[in-house]
Amino acid sequence: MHKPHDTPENLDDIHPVSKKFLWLANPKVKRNFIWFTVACLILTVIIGYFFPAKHPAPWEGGLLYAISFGVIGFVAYSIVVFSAWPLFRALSRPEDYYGEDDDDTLSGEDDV
Amino acid sequence: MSDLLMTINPGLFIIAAGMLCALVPLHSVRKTVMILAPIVAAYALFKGYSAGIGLAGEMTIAGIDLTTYRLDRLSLIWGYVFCFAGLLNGIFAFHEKAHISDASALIYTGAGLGAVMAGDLLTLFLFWELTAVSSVFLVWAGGPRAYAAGLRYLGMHVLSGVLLLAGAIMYQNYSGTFFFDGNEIGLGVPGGWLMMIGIGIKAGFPLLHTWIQDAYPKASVTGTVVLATFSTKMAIYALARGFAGEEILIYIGAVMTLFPVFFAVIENDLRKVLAYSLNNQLGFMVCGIGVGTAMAMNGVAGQVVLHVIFKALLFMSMGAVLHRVGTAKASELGGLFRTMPWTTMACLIGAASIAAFPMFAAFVTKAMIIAAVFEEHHYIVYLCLLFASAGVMEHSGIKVPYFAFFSHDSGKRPKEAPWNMLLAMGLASLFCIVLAWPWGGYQMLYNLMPMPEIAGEYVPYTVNHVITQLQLLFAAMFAFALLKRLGVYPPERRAQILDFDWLWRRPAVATLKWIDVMGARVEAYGGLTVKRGWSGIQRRLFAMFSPAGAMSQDAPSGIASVLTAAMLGLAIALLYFVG
Repeated sequence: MHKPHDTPENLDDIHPVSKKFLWLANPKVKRNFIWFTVACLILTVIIGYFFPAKHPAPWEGGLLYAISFGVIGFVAYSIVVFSAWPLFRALSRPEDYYGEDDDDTLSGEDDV
Repeated sequence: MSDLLMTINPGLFIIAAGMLCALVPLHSVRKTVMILAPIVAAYALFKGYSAGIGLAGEMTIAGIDLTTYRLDRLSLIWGYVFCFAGLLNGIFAFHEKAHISDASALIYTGAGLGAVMAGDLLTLFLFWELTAVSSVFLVWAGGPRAYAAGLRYLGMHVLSGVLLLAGAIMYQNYSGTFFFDGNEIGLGVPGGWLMMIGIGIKAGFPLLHTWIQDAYPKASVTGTVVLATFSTKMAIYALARGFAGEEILIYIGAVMTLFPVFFAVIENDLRKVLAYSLNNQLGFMVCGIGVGTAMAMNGVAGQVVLHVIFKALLFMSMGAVLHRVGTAKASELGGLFRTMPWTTMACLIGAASIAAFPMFAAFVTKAMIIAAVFEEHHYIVYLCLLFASAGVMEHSGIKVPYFAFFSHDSGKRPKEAPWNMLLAMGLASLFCIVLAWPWGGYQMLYNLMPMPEIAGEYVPYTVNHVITQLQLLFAAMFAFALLKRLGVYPPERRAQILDFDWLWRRPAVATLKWIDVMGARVEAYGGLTVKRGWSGIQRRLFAMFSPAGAMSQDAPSGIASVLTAAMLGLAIALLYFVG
């Protein structure tokens, strides 16, 4: 049965602990999560500037040091995600490609 | 504990418990044995190390000197974590009423422990093969879809053992001993390469890694958790013991950290994503072994401990999802935090641990490995490891928890995981935090490391280290949020993703079929003798290996497989004790 929204009539299904965290599913929170990461990133850059490494890498000089890990993190993550598009086209096949069942569906045990 | 018991390889205690489990019909007794056996083995390790056992169980069989038990600081840390993993597995599988899985899980655990405690290459080989034979039943416990994967898994592991044995014999011919010690073994000795490739199969070296992603996601809910612990970490131990400082391992490790990241991002099955992630983490360890300095080896040992715990935690959380929802495909999941809050919390702790957030497991140990690489001026590899760290954040830090528990609401409202699963996840979560805790936590881990006095010189919680690590991870999170917002983050789609095993699952099978067709032609045109001979071979092969044959009939639970396993076990035991 599909229950797409946390409407009051659906709240009975929700775990009591989870009820306190339903705000996580709020579209506004999801949409604005990016600003949380931006704020944290800026904070780490500022603090990083005042606490440089004792033994920086050869390419880390001056201000570059303060942002180098952020650049690496952002670029690496983006490369991985952008590579997914061509890789999926090149490597994906139908689930029964090998003639073996690849469906992991279990009966779904409700009780033990 | 008596002096005699202290000199017995504690892996044998757990193997004996596993055999007992195979005979005991009572569920509660079996489960109690599963939980108690690793505790007893850990106690034996503790007592043995306190008594300064060192080398024990020395015997001469058919003129060959064997040292069946070696307890030093390197094997001790592996031993403890294997026992702890055995305990976690026992608790996690408490609800499962599966006779064969219980027995094979314990025998597998014992074999893994026995292998890391082995003092010579022959003893190592025996336990090495026993891990393969015992663990395949855990793969087959996944049901009919796991049969073929189980056979491939067994094939790769037997091959690994054969290469190890071949290398060991060549080494013995050269050195006159099977004694397994890093001071004498390396790639420079005869058989060194064979041994390393054999070990590399189990360690998931690039191109030899596919058995991990093939078999682990197809095993049962509890089987995957057990499987994820022992074989690969046993191989890491063998590399650390015999091949520390071999430079080629630095580059192999770097490749291992990188390629799984690209597979994990397009994989839909979250247990398979974790299997790729496992490969990636093994890469860090292999890299550290290649560096081979004291700090690197401490980092590897610590990373093994923490990786066993947080990887088990992640597999357990996905196992709980599979157990309750019936699938671990990202495309079918989403929004499960609404009804599985404790499992969500456990998964998030596992994700933070593997991503190396400050105050979580891998923050200390992964940094030790990366710092060791940096100190040895391997800057390209250093950059690869940083790249891979952002990749880890993608597949295990964000993708697994996000698509299972958050993302869109799939409308599924499963119950929270059973109490025993929550208990096992809770314990693992606790250790993920405690062993990275700045005030007395990671120091406990340091005390277990092979060279604790040198480990103490590395201070992980400096402002600079915390800030740079956070910067890397927040930048990755920012990239995720941005790419998601721009709509360029790829959607989760059901598909079979090809990996290197395509080579033997398609072209190799096609070649065999071609040979079969050629055989049929020879049969048609050949003489009566050829025809009779070919038919005889075919008939025998069919009777033995076909789906209806003696070796395959009712593979996971049938009498044929049990008898085969029993005969193998008997043969190994006879070889071991009688010579």
